[in-house]
Amino acid sequence: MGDGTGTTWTCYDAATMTAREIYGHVLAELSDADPRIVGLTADLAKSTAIAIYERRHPDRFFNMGIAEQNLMGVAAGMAKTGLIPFASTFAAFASMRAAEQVRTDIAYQNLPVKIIATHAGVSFGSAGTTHHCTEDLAIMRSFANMTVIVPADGTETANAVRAAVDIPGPVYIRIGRGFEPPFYDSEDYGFEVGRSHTVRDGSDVTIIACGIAVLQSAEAARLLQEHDGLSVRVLNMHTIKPIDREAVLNAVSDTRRILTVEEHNVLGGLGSAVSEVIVESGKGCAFQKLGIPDEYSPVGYPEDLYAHFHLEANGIADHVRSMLDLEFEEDEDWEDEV
Amino acid sequence: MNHPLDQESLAARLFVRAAFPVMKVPLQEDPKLSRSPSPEPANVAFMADDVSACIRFEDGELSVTEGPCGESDVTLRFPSVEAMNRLLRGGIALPRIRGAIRHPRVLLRTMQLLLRLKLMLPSQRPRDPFKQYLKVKMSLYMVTTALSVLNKLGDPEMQSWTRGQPDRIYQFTVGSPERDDYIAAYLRVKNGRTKAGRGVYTRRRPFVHFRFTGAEEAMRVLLKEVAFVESVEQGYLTVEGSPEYSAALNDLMTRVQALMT
Repeated sequence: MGDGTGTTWTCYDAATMTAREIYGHVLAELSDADPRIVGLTADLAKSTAIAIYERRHPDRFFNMGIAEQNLMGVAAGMAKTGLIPFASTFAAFASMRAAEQVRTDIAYQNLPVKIIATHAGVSFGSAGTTHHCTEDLAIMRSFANMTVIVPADGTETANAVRAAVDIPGPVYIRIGRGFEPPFYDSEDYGFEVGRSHTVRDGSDVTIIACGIAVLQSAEAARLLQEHDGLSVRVLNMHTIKPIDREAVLNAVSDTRRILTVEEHNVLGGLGSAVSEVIVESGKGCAFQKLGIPDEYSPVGYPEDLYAHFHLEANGIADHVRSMLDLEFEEDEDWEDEV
Repeated sequence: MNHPLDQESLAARLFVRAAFPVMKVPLQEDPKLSRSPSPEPANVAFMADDVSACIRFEDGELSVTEGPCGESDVTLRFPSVEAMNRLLRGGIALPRIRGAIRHPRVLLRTMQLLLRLKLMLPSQRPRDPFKQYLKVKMSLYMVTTALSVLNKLGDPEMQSWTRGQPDRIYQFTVGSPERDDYIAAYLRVKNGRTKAGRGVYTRRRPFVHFRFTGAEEAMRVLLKEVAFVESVEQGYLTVEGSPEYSAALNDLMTRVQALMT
């Protein structure tokens, strides 16, 4: 179906509000009660769904034109006056074209600008490599003061947007193209910034996922339970920074095998953040990162690209199986204690 | 690949490798034994057909090895493995004893410990809390070790169960870890290999954790006074982890108990 940008998309469930649409609605609701909230975009009001906000609060909506650097600079200036700007654009433009403004104007001054980055990862599919964004987590994670959130679906996006208002500094919320299938049934599952959500408990291996990979990881865990008898823990690590160290370390000690799954270059994103926690702890475990390899993606439908990169349930399950034989510790004493 | 053993030989080897080492528990914890004078350092040989074991007493402790003693001070030779098993199952069997006159205290300590092993028999239902604790601790130590030995001896059923599993811990605990009477034992399984261990395995979370409320409740379950499922319903036992694998392990434990009682 068409999404208004001229590109043709496949679609899971057009009847369900997508992450970006939910973002638009939630932001409009929040603005009803909080006059500090303002919305900005760079000629992508419709594509990023902030147009929903524009219709409800036209006097608090600002279109900067095709000028992402300006978008971030103006947002920083508004934040300086006490406003809470939500700046929406494609992830590739927010994190790379406007990187200096995000760093120096916003993050350096620790200003409460909330960046809503849509069409992240390879979700822009046929739009090609210029519009793919598999580097943003690495970039945003390295900006001091920045909180980085990757919601699993629209419901979690609503939670993240609400939570972002109360965070005093800058927040980067990374969402997809808009037709990702829903994962959560309701908003009441205990979302908390910096605290992962245990989607499923298990003791053989832990999958730590974010974004669209959460649903696929949960499905992989179900497959592994049913077909392989494996007990797989799945953590939705929606907050990449600050990362939930406790949950990672619990996974190390409880399951000793960790697979991270993300729609991002395997360098610098969720996998890197998790591996830093593990290495800094001095504890050992078998560890693998599944994501976009250190290469640029082919161009195609997002679903085909996810399958190509094994970012779907069967690919994730195969990776888990391959981890089971990894030897990583010295506990190979098989003499019974008598 | 090991040749399958006949049931009596299998039971005898389980006694030697899983039950005899459990003598350490009463030796260390039963005041009647731990406070009485230790015998002189000595080797006690158990022999029955092709099954043998050597118990070494030294410095108030004992160690058990399967196989003949290099030099034994006391020897208990049974006419057959069936006879030895009968004695260890609580029946009557008279071994030929050598060395009793020269080492009476060694023989006495050996007999005291063999009698303590009887505490694990289903016919024994102590009311004294300390004896209940001893019975449960010895039984859990014995059964976890017996399961591991069963696997190591090449038992097809056990090997079939262990072969397909990644690194997994089957943990048993009784009571609260803050209490002195806390009991913990585990069975580790990994790709067909097994290890029985004492205490809590700390390197990973259990795949299945059997938590008994206390020794009295654990004893009721071990004695089959309450069925496995019923024991969970009544709160004697909490099972955290896979219900299918915990049920399979329970079946294997029942088989081990049947072999040894």
